[in-house]
Amino acid sequence: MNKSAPRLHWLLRLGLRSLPRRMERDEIGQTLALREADARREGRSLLVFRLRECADLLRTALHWRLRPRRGRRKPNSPPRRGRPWTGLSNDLRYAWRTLLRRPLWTASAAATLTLGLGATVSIFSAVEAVLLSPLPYPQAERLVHLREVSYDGNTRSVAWLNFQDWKRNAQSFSQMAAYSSWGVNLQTPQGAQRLSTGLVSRDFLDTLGVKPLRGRLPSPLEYQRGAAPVAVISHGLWMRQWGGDNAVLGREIDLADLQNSGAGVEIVGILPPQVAFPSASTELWIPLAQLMPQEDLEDRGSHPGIRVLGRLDEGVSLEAARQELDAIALQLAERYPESNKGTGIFTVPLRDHLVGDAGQTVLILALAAGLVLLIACANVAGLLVARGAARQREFSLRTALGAGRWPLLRLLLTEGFALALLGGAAGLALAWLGIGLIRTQVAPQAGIFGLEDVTLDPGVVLFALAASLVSGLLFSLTPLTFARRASLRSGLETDSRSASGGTLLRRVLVTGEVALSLTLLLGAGWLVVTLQQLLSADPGFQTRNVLTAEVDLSGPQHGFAQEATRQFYEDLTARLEALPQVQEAAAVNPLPLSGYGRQWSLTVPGNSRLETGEKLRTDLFIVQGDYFKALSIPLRSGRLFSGQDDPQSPRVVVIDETLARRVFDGDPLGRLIQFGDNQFRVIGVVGHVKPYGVDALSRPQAYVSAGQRSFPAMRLVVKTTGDPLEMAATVRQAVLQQDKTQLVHRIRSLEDYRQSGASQRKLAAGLLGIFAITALVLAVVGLYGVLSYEVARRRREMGVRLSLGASRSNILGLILKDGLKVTLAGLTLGLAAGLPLSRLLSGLLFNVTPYHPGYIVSTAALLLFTALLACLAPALRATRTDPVRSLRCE
Amino acid sequence: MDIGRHLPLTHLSFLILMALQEKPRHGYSIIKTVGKLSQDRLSPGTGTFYSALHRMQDEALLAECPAPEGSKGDSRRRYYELTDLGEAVLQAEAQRLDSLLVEARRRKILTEGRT
Repeated sequence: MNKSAPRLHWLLRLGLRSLPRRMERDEIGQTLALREADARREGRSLLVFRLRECADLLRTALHWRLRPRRGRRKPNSPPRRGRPWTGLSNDLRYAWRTLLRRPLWTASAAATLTLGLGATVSIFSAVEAVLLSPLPYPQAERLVHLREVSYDGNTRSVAWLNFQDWKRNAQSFSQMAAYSSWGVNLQTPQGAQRLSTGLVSRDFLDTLGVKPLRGRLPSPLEYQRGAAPVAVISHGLWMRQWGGDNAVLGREIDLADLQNSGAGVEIVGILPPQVAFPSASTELWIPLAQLMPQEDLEDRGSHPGIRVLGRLDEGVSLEAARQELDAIALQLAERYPESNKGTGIFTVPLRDHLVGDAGQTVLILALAAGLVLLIACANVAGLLVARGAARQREFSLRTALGAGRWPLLRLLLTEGFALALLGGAAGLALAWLGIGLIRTQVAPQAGIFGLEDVTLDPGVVLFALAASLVSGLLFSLTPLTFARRASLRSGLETDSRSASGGTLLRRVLVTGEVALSLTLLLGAGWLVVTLQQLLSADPGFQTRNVLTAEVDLSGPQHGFAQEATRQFYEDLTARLEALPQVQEAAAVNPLPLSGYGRQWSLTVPGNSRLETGEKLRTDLFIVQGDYFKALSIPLRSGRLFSGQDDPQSPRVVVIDETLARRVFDGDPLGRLIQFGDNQFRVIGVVGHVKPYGVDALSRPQAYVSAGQRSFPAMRLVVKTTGDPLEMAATVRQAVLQQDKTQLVHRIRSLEDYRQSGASQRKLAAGLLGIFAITALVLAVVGLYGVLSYEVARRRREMGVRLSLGASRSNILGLILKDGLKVTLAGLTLGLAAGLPLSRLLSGLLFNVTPYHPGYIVSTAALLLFTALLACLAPALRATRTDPVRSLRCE
Repeated sequence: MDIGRHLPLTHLSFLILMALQEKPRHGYSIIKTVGKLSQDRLSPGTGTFYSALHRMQDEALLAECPAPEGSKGDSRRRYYELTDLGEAVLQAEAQRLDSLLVEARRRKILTEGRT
């Protein structure tokens, strides 16, 4: 508005503002003022006049904005045919050209979006696959997993008799079934195959809600001991072994393990492909009574690896079911104090049971990916704001030439849209690659339930595209706000001096980026330290150069004879030890770090630290040969097993130092301990080991000799001089020489077990590390951008300072201080926000103090250092300013 | 010059052209004259008025011109004058209205002396 123009009433100003710029508002304003004066002079109502005029102006404005314009078309502006969207294709083409004209800018903006989107979409898809996608069973949210839990909070498998009582008494469940994971050998013409097998009780498949794809489920009678053995097979086994032939139904297969086998096992049904329970690899389901030893099912104190699956009754909450189960557990504890004292029932939704700790890992990664997306969006926004400020002149010119607001808006939106589209497409491509990588590389190693089913999820894709569109579109509009703020003339006259729009906004954005990347760096740092701690912590035994393999002698051909089994392993370890590259050969069950364990309750006759009648749960290992030497488990006192410890000699036991301290007051050597009805004399004390991994709880341990109590399924433990895996073929050969029909499987190095125990953390640390570095790079690029822009903008000021006698180091300091301010603000914010986040990670951390000042200071220092590097280039550029030139170029 | 394309004129356009036929005027003056010519029966809103003014400018019926010498008031005001086309269209419209009136009289819709 012209300065000399009279002040108009706001109603009139409003009407006037609404008019398109090309109608001379000044002129109209003056006329309005004159007519208002007339009205006042003639004594007409001013309110009526103003309202009428305002309405008239608004109507006119609407008419002119929607009206097709003729004649005054400008070069390079799209033809206007009166619809808001006409010329869109023109705008698109123009936007494309604009983007291509500044390839570096466009590439950095698009690459930023690509990184952010790629990371977010792949990780969120993983979250979807692991945590959100439904289990492939009908009404799966009603499925609950149950275990026993002792008073110390440790859970364990369920005694069969307890399961029977739960099933009988619990009204909250419509169905309840028991299952156990086993492995059995399938004899085929091509040789034996090890099949992962589910031993299941009667209602198991019904509880799961599974209908057979072909054939039928076993009938109730077939679940009884002594019935003709039947099996249900998986879709995968059907396809692999029998090529999907329907004739397999009714066929008998040879499972060596079935105790009453003489006849084969009849295949009665085939399950649909999505059934993957108890584990993804389960291929065979057999009635539990066929394989589970009778004595394990009759003893309430025996926990033979049975788990329970329940289906909540319609409308019953998990909480209500828990209360009922607690009451049942109390009753059982009163009735059977011997076995059930302090025993509770642990319940968890089946999905949570299957996902386990991995859920937390995946959620943390999703959070991290979200932060990266946020940083990426902030960076793109920063780039757009900077560019918007730089284009202020262009937009002033456009406006001066008569471009209306809407066409400008549309142009900017189109550019933002094109950019988002570019970044979005590349981001999706990256996500596609990332998901492929997750499925083929990460999933098999991480062992996270559901991860192998990860796909590009449409919902996630939409979300990510929306995020990029919003950040692209929203911030692409910034030039328009400057165009409004600055008057036309100043916009046209403007040079770098006044093109300061958006500086504050960009600083805020970069501060946020620094804060977020500090958060991510802290998290990644903690996880990396955890990983180091995990892999360097001492499990109590050596894992290097140890080859392990499973041999299973259960089956009728060995007659389940204790003596034959004992002889077999004795001969086998001797044969292996004779090999030149083998230092020690031994066998053990269960193998430490394999995830399996065997717990027995022991009592001590005579004086001990145990209360009278107290039973102590211990991990019991059956060992054969030079086991302690092979794993370098130190002998503290007494002796190890020898050849003299045979079935005829008195039973002996080796205990670990924890058990010795826990149970005995003085010297444990020569004392007796009792497992069940059998008494064992302590002959030696060895070091404590961590058989479930360094970060897991371990119990007191006892070892008995396979020479006195043989066991059919053992893991060979071979200490080699070189790379253990090179010995794999040799070991297999040695076993076959011993017994041609024998199967050797799970040939892995012990170190491999150790590494895979840390696999989830490795995954988390690796991905979080990648995210943190991405975030750091993005934040630093953002900082660099802001400062570079600032230096260019203040070139004239630098020139003046230099010509007035400021030294180059003054200028350097000035710019560095500028960058430092933003960085420090970001660091402060990051610490404030990041430290509480560490609580989220606490479940994944091991031997790490999150608040340790050392980590925090060094992480912040790393960020600060990188940020200073980013500031240095623009600052040096500023010192090289030529005062004469910078002043002349104004 | 395609005059017929512009006919018939709206009431307001006709009066604007008529106001300018006398001499170049600025916007406010045109509005006042339009009011006078219509015996205060037509008092267009300022927006409507300028909208018509712009449209007629686009149609080259009138054009901006320098302020006439000796004009009082704000020298920054915009003045408008009739173009040749505007002049011709005004005449054509007047003739069109006249022939309509002749017909109306012939049919005794309108008697002499009454306006």
